[in-house]
Amino acid sequence: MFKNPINLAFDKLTAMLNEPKWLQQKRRDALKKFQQYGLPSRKLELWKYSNIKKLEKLEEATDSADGNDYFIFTIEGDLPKDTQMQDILQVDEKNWKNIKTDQQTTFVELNTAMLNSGFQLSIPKNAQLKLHVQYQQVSKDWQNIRTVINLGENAELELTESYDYDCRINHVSLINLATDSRIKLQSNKHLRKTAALLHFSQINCEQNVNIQQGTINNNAAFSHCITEVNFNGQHSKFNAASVNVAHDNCHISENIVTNHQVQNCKSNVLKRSLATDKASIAINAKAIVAKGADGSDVAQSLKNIVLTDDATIYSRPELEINTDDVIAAHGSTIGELDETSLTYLRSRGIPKEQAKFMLIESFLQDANIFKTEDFLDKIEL
Amino acid sequence: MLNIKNIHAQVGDNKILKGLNLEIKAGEVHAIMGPNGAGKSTLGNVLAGMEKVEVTQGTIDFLDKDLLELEIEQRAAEGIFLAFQYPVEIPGVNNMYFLRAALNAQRKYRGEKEMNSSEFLKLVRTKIIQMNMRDDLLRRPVNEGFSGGEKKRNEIFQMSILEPKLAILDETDSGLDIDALKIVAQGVNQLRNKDRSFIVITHYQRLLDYIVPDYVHVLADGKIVRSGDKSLALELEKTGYSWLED
Repeated sequence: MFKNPINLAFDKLTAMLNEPKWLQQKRRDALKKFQQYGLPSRKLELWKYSNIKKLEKLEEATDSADGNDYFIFTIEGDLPKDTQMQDILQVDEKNWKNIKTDQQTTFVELNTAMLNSGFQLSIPKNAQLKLHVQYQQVSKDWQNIRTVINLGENAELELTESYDYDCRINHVSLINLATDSRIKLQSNKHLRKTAALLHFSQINCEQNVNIQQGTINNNAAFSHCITEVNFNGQHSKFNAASVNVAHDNCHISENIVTNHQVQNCKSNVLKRSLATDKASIAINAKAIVAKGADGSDVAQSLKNIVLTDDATIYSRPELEINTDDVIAAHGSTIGELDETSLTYLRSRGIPKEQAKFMLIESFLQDANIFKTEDFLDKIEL
Repeated sequence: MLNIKNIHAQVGDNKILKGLNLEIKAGEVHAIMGPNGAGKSTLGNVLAGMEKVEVTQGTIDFLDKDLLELEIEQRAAEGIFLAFQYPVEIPGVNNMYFLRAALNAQRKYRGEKEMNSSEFLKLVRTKIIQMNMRDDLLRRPVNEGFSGGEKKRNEIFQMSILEPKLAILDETDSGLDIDALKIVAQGVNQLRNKDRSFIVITHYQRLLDYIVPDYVHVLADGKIVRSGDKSLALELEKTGYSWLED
């Protein structure tokens, strides 16, 4: 994607796909738009601390999954009646959902242009489903995956997503939540230090929706994620926690933009990040409260630990409030491990390395909103 | 048990201990009193191995080992316990988890078998009743949200679990009401035996009514300037420290 001329890659993909004309036209338009936007520059807010040139320097992915399946689905229990699962390339034109883009989300256009895999899942009202999706890396090339989830009224979904540890994925996910629906999203990104992931996620909520989102970003040569939450109906709640851990030369950028467009919605964003060696992490939590969106409740807590002199963390909580009656709190800290706490643990006989581990573990556990026991098992501490 | 000879110590450029000598035998309780800034807490910090204090001269033998050669955690495993004047809050680290990790780290250091969770729970249940502590405090993060009295009681509770050979109580009575003071003193007295020694650092004679010392020392300007029995504490209560200026 970054080494080959994009037009050639597009033509090659087009020749392979047996797609309807409208989709091919959409892909062609998206390619044109991507080329107009260009690659995101560091002048853009969500890309300020991410150097896209790093992607060009990446070696090719070395591992690929067996077979040709892009996904492995595991469904707990029975699939609810009337649930629809469809290949994204087979979706009707009337069911295709466009995503509004700008320069910051240019990779959404690239995803559309080069779309080679994905699914659309529609869960009917009152249904419940637990689903695990593993995104596979099937070749050395970049994969452009799109997932669309439509959750019906009063429906409930528990979705756990995990990514191939040596992936090259540009993933766009679109989640539409109807009134009174509930979703638990756990995204496990335990990646190799040579992997790359671009992830744009848009969540659109009607009324009284409850979203819980837990994310683990564990390494990657380059990982850039943007989550956009749009409150379109009142009394919805978004509770998000992420843990971000980067070693060696890894780079992780985690961005959440919450749009409080209507009254009485609540967002709570908590991020715990730890960088060591020469790694860098960029954290951005932005909440925009529109004029008239009174009764909004916004909280952002970004805490960061830098373990070495060469590691860097950029942390930015941001509130843009355009109305009066709002509860809002935000905070960000960056520091080393607390020496006083470390000394206290050691004074009781706990060796230094074990004491450090205990402090790091407790720091990261703050973000374990689903209280899973194996939360930190795959993280190198 | 403990032999401190001509210890000089400083924090940054500030020289605090200036030739302190002290010998403590097994089973003895020594009270250290003195005016503010005399170096009482620094003495506790030197013994526990706090890195902010630099020892520039002198020797400390503890059970035939050179204490100054040991790291903080090694000193703890050898049997030194410092009850902090200001116990540290550690959000996210569960009290039980912390204590078991500490106990097993010490046992491992000494070549003893580590304690499994059911054995540890049994031990904790016995001790918590003795310390008159609420058991919900054990499930909470270390000292987080504890009152001043609860923090001090938690220090003594930790001591009762870890069973040190030498316990240093650094102003454990500060900030305690009379009932909490009695409970803390009771906890300490339960741990007194012929093999365990205590250094009780305090400003007030009141604590020594409950933890009766074998010796009382006055520490002033980085040295022990006077030693005596419990009656010395009563005398200090009456006279204060103005005589030091003479």
